Amino acid sequence: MSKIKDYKELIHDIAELLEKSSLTEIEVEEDGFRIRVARETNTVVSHAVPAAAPAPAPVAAPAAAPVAETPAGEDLTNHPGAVVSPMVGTAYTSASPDSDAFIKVGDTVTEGQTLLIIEAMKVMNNIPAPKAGTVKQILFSDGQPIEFGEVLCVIE
Amino acid sequence: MTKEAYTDISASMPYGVGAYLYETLGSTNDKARGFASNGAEKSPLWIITREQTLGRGRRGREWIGLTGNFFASLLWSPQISAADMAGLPFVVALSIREALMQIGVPTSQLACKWPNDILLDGAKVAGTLIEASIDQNSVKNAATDYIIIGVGINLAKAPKDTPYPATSVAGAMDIMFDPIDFLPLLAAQFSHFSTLLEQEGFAPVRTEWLASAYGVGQPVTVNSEEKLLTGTFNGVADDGAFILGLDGGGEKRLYAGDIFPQLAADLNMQGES
Repeated sequence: MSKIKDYKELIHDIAELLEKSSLTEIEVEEDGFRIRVARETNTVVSHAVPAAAPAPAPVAAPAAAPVAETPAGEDLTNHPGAVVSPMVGTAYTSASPDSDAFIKVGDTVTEGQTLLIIEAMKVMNNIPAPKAGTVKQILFSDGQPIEFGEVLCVIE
Repeated sequence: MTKEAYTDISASMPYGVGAYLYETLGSTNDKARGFASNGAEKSPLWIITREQTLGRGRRGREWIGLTGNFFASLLWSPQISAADMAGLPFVVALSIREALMQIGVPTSQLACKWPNDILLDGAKVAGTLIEASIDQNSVKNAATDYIIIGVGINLAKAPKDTPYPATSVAGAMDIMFDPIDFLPLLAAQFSHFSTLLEQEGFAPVRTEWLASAYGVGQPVTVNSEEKLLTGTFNGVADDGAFILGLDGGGEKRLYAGDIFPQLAADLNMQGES
């Protein structure tokens, strides 16, 4: 029991370190025992093809639940409410820098309502809600480069 | 005539293309969107106004509505694949260039700057704002419901205090041309180049565009994603990307950015294309 508690504390410490740093994963290995804590970053700065989503933390060792401080790392690609990007481009949360964001978490949206704009080759693409519902998560920020197939938000 | 009244000038347009003339409007793009969301008109319909009070460019930037200049928007439902959508800015640029040539601007003084700018004697003479509405039933495939292409051309006057050099057709060439008479010329060119894109894809559009492109093979500085990159303009890729030949060897494809022929030190980085 005490050992599991130790793991939990260790994972907690690593997760905290991860939060404070700009790292996306930390792996610790000692005497054949290994813990990896990873998170999915939403601040991709290159246009490289994204690798498969990082595995949920932690890998190896006991099946301790991921710590609450790192809710990311969850793979939303197959989530039924996930809205994925149909194109490569730059995300904009509002019509212009001075106007309000199209959506925020907790908003109720109607089918067809604009969620964000993705600029691709100088074309401003209005991305609509494929269905009505409540915005549960928003995974893009203003000016962020977006990849094809990237989860933009979750509507339930 | 009330502010919102319009005259149907479709008779002066190419066959099958509609056009409504307003005396004054806030924004022709907004008016076109109004028609689209009412479901009454989808395409192709031009909205033109003599006076525009709330014109805007990319990211809500103001597009100053100087009297005598051209302000119009096209509402259109294209039959083009999501991949060929990358050719649209080039189609718009070529259409503007050809229409300007028809009113007497010499080819030698016009140039296309990646991806959608038209330069007259090296200064900006036109601006475009392309807005696409993705079909809500087909977000994954990026199927386009409709597109609105806003075009502003400095036919009579150039705005002052722009962060980039600006010029006008009247100022540079001593050619005066009524913006309402310019619309059928632009619409015909757009019909030609957009049909080319719809039927044959981006390749022939790219070939035409490159033939009049600014600075191919020349040193260039690009402000892309808040980074300054220098190299050589090596042309346009089959997906519309700007191909930058890097000084250290190799190439990089760019999908966003402002292109400058000068050295970085001489730039006003607030430039907008």
